[in-house]
Amino acid sequence: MSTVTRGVRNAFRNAVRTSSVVLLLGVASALALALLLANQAVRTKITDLKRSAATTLTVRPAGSFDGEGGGEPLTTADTAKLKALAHVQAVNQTLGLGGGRATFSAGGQVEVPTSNVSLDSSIDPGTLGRRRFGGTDSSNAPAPTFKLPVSLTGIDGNLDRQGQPLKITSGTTTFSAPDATEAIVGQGIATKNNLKVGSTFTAYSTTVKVVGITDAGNQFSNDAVMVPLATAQKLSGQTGEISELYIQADSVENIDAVKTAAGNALGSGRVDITSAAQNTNDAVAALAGIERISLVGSIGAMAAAAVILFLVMVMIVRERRREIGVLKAIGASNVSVVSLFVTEALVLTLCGSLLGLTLAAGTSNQITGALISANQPAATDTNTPGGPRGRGGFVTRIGTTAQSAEQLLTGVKTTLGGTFLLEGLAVTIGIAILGSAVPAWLIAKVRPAEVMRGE
Amino acid sequence: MLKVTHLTKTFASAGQSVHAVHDVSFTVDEGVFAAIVGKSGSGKSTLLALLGALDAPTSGTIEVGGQDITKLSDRQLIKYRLTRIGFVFQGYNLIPNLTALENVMLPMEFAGVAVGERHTRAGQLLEQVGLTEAEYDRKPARLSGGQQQRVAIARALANRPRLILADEPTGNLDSATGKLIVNLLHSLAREHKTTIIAVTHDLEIARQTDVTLTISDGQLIKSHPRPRTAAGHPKTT
Repeated sequence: MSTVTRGVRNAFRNAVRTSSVVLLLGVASALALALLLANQAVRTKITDLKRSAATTLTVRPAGSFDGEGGGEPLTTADTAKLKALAHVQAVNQTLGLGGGRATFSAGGQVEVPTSNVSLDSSIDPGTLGRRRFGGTDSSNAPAPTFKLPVSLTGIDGNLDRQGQPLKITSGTTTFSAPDATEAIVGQGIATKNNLKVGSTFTAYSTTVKVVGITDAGNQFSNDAVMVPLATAQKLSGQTGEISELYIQADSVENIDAVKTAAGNALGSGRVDITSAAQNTNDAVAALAGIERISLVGSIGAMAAAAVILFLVMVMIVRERRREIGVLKAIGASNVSVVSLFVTEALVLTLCGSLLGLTLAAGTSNQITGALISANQPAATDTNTPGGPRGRGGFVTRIGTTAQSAEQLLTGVKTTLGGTFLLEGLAVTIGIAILGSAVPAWLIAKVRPAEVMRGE
Repeated sequence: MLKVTHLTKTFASAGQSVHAVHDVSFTVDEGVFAAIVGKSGSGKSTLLALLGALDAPTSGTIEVGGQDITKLSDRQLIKYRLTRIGFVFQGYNLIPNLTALENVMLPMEFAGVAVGERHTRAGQLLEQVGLTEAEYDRKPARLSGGQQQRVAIARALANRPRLILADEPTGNLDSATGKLIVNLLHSLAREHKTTIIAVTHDLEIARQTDVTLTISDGQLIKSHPRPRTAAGHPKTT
């Protein structure tokens, strides 16, 4: 039997104590590992946000915002000018086609939306929708019953309006032709209307075939119907017109330069150029807070685990003082005895860590979610994302363009990878060494003559 | 075999020096079974700890086989304890979560003896001290006091030491079992030429040894050798 074998056996010498210690270490390790996983996930998210959202600029006609105001539409010629600018990686174009309004009389004149698409929206108008169209707050007119209109968005290529690749759950991201009468629909609207890839519906009296279904992760965006830009322009008779442009700069550092150059190229009085930087900054600031909390919490939990182990090992060493004396009296060296106890500490820590890892794997996403919920930005710019505008001035936003800070904080998921397991193993060994360092020193101090005490 | 010269061990207690062992000198030859007797607190266990290099003397020398162990480095002292001496304690001091066989194998493990060899030798030693094979795999808690002391003796013999130091080896045993243990130690001294020094307060046991060293207040006050009978047993006086 070797020192290691005896150390392992010693770890299980007292079943009650071993169970208690493993449980305590397991809980502390679970907290440390879950927070470490949260920290990693948040760091990844921050990197992603900095890489993507912060480099996007939104260009819309000056005076037009969120379906309100006026101004002149953008054109494909504007797109060409932007594509020619330095530090511009891509320019994404969209054309939003909203529904119209019809007069509704019920104790007063109110307008309700109408739609050019033969699909039902998956979103219920609710109080907010009725308040917007019903005018019940001032006219005392009864709230009209209506459905939110389903509108089309013309998109450029297989990127969504944010310049991000479409998240397809079935079908394809590619239209068969730039002016194909095909559509990619959101998951919500597909479910509501029993649409599958290959199904058809009518838009502007034209039959449109579903070629793909997307899941953007939120109800609003999943109510979208996207068609090729040229198709949207042709169906609505808005040839060459674009409602919004999204510029992807090559880096965060160049975003201001691109914004200035775009303003100069298109005429600063003609367009409004906004960036998602503020929302991204809010989101990043919130995430940075979570990153700090999770790191400090993780270190604290690891320190707690080390303290638990330290106290347990001190207790064990004191309890086995005579046994240590016996071992030394019969010829064991300090190294041999210390190795025995370090092995015991390592086994206890490994068992605790294994339990902790299991618990952390099951709870890390919940802990991360709770941290994010508790650290939402106080106020976020929910107006920044302008959607495609309806011709009647009706808000027809069917997806977000630049996401709000809250939306940017979604999708933070922890992953348990091989690197993390190796790091966890290193931390475990570190805790075992830290927790048994002082006990090892105590062991070295035990004189073999201790065995004669009380004899 | 063992030569102790002017050995002194002083402790500081309440600002005063206390001589636990004071200027003790004696010699014990190879294969001799010696007893150190004295009242409680007389310094006999301290003397045994000094002989076993468990503690360092304040002054004086201890020569074992011609080598002064008071001059040894820490590393050499570990080797000395490992190979030259074997300890038998009053409370047996077996490792509770190891079996009888594993307890005996332990000193051999520290000495680097191969697994197979230490397993065989541990079995032989347990057989020699009178344990049955069924008892080899029992943990100390499942052995009687006498059996545990036998295992402790087998463990002390594991690395073939020339000197066995026993601290009250029969102190926790009934008189019949104590007599058996003394007989066992006697036979070891005779058959293996092993020098045995046992601390005891039991004068009956002391009378069965080859020489009795009486210690009082840390000083050796009497050395009483006994000639052996034709059968090799000490003549009782």
